[in-house]
Amino acid sequence: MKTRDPITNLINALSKFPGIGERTATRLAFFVLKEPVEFANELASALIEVKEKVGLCQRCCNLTEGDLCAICRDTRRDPTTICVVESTPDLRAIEGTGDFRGTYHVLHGVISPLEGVGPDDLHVRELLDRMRPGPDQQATPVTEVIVATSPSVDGEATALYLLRLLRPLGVRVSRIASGVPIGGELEYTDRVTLSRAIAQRRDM
Amino acid sequence: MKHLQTRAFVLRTVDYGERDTIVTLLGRDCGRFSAIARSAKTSRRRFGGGLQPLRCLQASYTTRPQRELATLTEVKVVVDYPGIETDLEKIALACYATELVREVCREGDEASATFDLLEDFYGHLSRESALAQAEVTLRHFELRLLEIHGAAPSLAGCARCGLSTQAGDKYMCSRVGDGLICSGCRHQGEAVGVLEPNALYLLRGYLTLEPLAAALLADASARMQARRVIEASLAQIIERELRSRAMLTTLGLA
Repeated sequence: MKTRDPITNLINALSKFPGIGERTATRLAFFVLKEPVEFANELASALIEVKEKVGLCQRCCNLTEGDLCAICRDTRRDPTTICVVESTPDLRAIEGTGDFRGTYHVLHGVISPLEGVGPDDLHVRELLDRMRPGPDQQATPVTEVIVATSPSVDGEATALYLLRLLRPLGVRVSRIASGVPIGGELEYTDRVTLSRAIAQRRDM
Repeated sequence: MKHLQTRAFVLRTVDYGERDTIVTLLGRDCGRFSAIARSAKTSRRRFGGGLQPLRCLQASYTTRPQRELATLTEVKVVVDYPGIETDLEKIALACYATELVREVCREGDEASATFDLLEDFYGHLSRESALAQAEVTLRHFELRLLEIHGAAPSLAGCARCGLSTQAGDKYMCSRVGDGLICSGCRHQGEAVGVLEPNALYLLRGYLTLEPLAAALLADASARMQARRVIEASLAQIIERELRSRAMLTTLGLA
């Protein structure tokens, strides 16, 4: 609820950020008060600018300032392979490896039956549109979709749902591997991870 | 401060701050309780892949007087259900059962029978052939859960006078979840549903898990009536629409 007290308003607004409780919000609010007015103007205009200018890429739903994101605009990327991720931070994590040269699709969430998040709440339709190239889509047909959702119950539910939609379209659907982390010790690896690693072992 | 251990199922997890997670658990010895798992997002060693639904855990936790939240110190996965996680329908059914338990159980209530029921349900679902009998398994789960929590519809006789039903009787069923109502106990103007004999046989079969005739299982009208009877009873003890039902509907399982 909006009050007349501007400090309380600011604390209330800041405490809506993830991971920011009332105490931290209060510290931040008093920090803003101590700084020169230019700081507040800069912060306010940055917040407004990001909301006004940043939207979703028309092709992959990544965050972008233009119609297409930098990855979709990059002609050196392989458009026949799409890596499906839950969120933009996940995209950045994979991009940070430097090993993937295909394109992405950002779902902006995962199917979560327990939280009532279903396929219609995600950007699944846009992914399917990419499988059927139209005049505004890429001309090269997609041959592989890599589902890179987390290896959690919700991530698996999402992967299984996508598999069900994509397999009839004749696209190869693959799932990122899961198992023992590099540099990890088997002794301290949890039972589920270890049993999945054994079940999904590979030939050498 | 007390140090405790219990076998537990995860009913829900909610992120708290940057690193912590608040977990709602169903302990076999202590019923439903909530605990904070500090640094759960970074500590793979203490929590591994355990803090998510469809895991039976050995949970170690501490409690302090006058503190609502326990502190989860470590979990070990005792049973996971890979047979469920590889099938979308099974995930949806398991999530529905999990949410149902979460809504029905109250903190502080004894819950060992509910724990065992959920354990059996997950175990059954993880079998390869489980989906062939999914409807029967689900209805059995719902009816047993209602029975454990004292809200099962009366199926043997009138919910009010206890008069047993006779073959050939016209069965009437309460719209508010009580189960069978005889004509003598029906209040004037009370809305009741008429229950076909097949629907009653189905309900009794669901509860006891006695083998049901194929013709009975194929009777769509009886199945629908049986489902409505169970839903009316569930509505008595659940205050809101279950979120997981949407996925069951999407997959044609509701």
